[in-house]
Amino acid sequence: MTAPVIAYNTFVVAVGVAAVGFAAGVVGSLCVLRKRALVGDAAAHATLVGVACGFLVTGRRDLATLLAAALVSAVAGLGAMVLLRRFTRTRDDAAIAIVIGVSFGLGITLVSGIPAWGYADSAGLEQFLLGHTAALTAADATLLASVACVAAIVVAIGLKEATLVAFDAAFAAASGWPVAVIDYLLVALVAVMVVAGLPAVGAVLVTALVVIPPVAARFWTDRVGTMLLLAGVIGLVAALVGVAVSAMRPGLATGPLVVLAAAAIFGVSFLIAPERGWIARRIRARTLADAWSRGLALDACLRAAGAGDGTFTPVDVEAAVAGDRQGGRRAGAEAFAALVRTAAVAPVAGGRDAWRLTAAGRALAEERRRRLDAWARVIEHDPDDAREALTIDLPAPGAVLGRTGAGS
Amino acid sequence: MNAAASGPSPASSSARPPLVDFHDVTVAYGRRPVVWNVDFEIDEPCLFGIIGPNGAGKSTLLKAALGLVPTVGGSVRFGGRPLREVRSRVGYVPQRETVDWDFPVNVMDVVLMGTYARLGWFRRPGARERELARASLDRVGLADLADRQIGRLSGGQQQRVFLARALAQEADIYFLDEPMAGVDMRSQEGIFRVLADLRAAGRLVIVVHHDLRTAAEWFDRVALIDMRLVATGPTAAVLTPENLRRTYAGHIEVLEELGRAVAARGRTS
Amino acid sequence: MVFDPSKNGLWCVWAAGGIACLAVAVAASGCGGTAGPSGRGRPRVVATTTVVADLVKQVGGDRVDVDCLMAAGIDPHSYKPTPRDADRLAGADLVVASGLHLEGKLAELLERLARARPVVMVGDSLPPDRLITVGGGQHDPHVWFDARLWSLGVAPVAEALARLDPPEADEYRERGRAYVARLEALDDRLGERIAAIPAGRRVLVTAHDAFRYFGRAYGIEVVGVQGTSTESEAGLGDINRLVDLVVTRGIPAIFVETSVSDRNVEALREGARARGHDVALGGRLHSDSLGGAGSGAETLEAALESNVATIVDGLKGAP
Repeated sequence: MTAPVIAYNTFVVAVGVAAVGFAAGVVGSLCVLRKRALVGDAAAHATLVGVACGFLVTGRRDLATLLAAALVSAVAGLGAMVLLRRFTRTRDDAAIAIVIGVSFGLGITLVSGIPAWGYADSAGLEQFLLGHTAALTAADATLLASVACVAAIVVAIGLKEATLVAFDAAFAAASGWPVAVIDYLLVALVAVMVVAGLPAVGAVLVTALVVIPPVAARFWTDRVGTMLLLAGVIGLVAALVGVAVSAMRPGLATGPLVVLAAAAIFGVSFLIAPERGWIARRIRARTLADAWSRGLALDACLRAAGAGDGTFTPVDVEAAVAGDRQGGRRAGAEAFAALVRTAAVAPVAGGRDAWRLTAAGRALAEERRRRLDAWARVIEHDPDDAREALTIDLPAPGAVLGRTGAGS
Repeated sequence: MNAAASGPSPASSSARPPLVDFHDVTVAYGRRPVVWNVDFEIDEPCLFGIIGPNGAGKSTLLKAALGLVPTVGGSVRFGGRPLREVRSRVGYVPQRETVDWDFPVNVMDVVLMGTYARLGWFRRPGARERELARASLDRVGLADLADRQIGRLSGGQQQRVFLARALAQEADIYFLDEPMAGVDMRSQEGIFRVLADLRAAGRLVIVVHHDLRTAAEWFDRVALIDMRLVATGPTAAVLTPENLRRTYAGHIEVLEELGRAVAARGRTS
Repeated sequence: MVFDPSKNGLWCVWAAGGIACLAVAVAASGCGGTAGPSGRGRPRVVATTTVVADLVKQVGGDRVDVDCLMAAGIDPHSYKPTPRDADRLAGADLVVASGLHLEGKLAELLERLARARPVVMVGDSLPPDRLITVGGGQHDPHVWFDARLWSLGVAPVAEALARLDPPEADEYRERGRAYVARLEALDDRLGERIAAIPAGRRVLVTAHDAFRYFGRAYGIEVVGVQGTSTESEAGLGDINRLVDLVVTRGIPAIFVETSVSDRNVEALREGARARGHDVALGGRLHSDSLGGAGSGAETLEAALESNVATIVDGLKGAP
């Protein structure tokens, strides 16, 4: 039988890991919105103890048993965290650190110690640290996919309640919603996803799978539903990329590759997302600053046009723009260059470095003056209106003021 | 320890239990009491202000009424019943800082949240809820900002979104916690107008407020709180220099000035 | 932290408690078995793995006390020594290790021990030109699978025992020579049995690359899922490569090892099955460790015989 296009093992692993990636992104979004991102980390580090104890108690090494035991210990770790906060006034971050340190230390001791202490069949527990996708069978992948589906469905059903509690817990409580219960359910869901992620990426990295996709998704959308879906898609794509790359070359572990893929998607989102991406923000800021500088330059030209012989040199205009600012000279030079480009100023013939304002330039400068005066009157008369409508790029007051419905 | 109102008390029919009854409420954070034995009643729908200096425990009193903080002693009853029986009739506008305004929701999403309690578990808002939300937005003058992400609103606009959400709750009793904090004058007046409309429609509106001047202008009745109840009753009767001195000890001249201003203006309902 | 006189009493309690804990910890680390060298009596030998422990027992017989650090079934590649192990090793008259970095995490400890007492690294005493190199300039340490090669390591152990216990020197040397002879005879037998497997099926697929020497000595091709050390992680790509190999070569059986996780092997079988090739689980091989008591593989000879029997059954038997 000739080799298939996609190897069977690759396909099985891809299905399992992609499902987990999707669900982890969705559940993680709720976690991030609720500002509980580190809870996943605490749960993840607490799972090792469960894996080890599960093996010790039952003597079995199948994935279902060990993951069930991991879930129990993850929930126990989270419970310990809650008790710490409630009864000993330990702060959130300290409580998380304590749980992580103690449970992980205990977990590592057990997981490396059990094989060393001579328990039969105990080799392989350490694989839960960094994942072992190479060893996933079809039954394992089915288990993971089912858990992922159930988790995603639970989120879809309870999205309204989860969003309400994440956005305004006080209002939710006052309206009668059992905020604590909803919080615990969310935490339990995160624990489940963390445990499901163990075979895929391991205890050390699974937090990344729960946190990175939502944060990346946030750059692209302003709606909760879209963010959740997008986070799921990002998790899924990262999983597929990680699996594909590790399947192509020998000696590559899947888990870290999945996380790297997710991080790459985050990096790209951070840079190029429209509106919230870094590049977009920089461009916006630059554009606004440049527009303002151009306005200042125009004004300086208008002033100069009304004095003496009506000409001016670029240096004068640049100085007016630069003022005492950092980088002002450059801003001034660029502003003047922009005026030249848009034919707002033209050189005077005769060899001197003298310029004058063109008709178009004059019109622009005078319109700007008019708007400034109008806004100054608005600010004087009603600063609240101005606060709601005035922006750096000086819109025409009349058009803008009617829209905001300021007052009643 | 309670100072009863010195003005003529409204004719409260003893057959009906008061709309809201703060009964010997004491709240403590750890060992320190923040609210001490506050006891007063509100019998009729009106615009009711809870006034006091910073740190007086006004917000805490409100939260205690809503079950958000536990009381060490005393209780708050609504028409003789505990809160959990009448939740659907109580609306709440919390302080603005409690919320992360970068949350990915728009104005309409937030106002719809006011309808969730009536929808119950797992049901999604439908046409009726959307209509109600739109109407609420209209009343606060934010109808054309329904699609805007809440982080892009001004302070006053954000407060009005919260108010619209409370309106969507369709409650009989509204609690507002410092709704005018950091809000421009124009929006404040707008909000007060909406509250007055609610009062005219027969609702009880209880507002924790810090500005004495606007308090004197807008509220029918007030309770002066500084950890304990100093006085309660019709606004003009309560906001006397004597009471204000007892509450705001240390700002004598300002208070005398205010007291005179209040007396001169009077309060016409 | 402000020293508050009113809280003085509480502070003293905490200080006392802390000192008490410290004292207990110090005392506990002190005890635990440094009973000291045995002086005049039987030489105490501590061996690291079961394989070298067997070697020492064969040469020393009843005359020596052999203590084995790692129990049967333990993976020597990843074994981390405990303080108690350090004590046991320190109390030995002679330490015998497999060497060639098999006991990867004991290297430093063994180096230190060598300064105060004789340490024999069996693998290191073999002629380097007979060793197989793996990536990174290292040698494959699983030399005991080549019985003849392993027998070259018997003499150094016999000599070390002779030096330690001169009255019995001749005895040790004699037993050593006898053991070498047995190993050489074993070597011939194993070679014959393997040769009986049809040439096309003579491929040994196991959990990790422990059988290179075995393959070279007895004429069978060996492929491991993980690399030479179990510390390296098997990736998805490795599994795919092996499924390909198993299917295209029509290999009838693959084998698991007693001290290595068999989860990868299960995934491999599933992958082959999906392509229509049923590969059987040939059985458990003893690789980095001998069998425990009652397993029938308590000595190296027994383990090798058992391995070969399992392999022959697995590869020959399937249709």
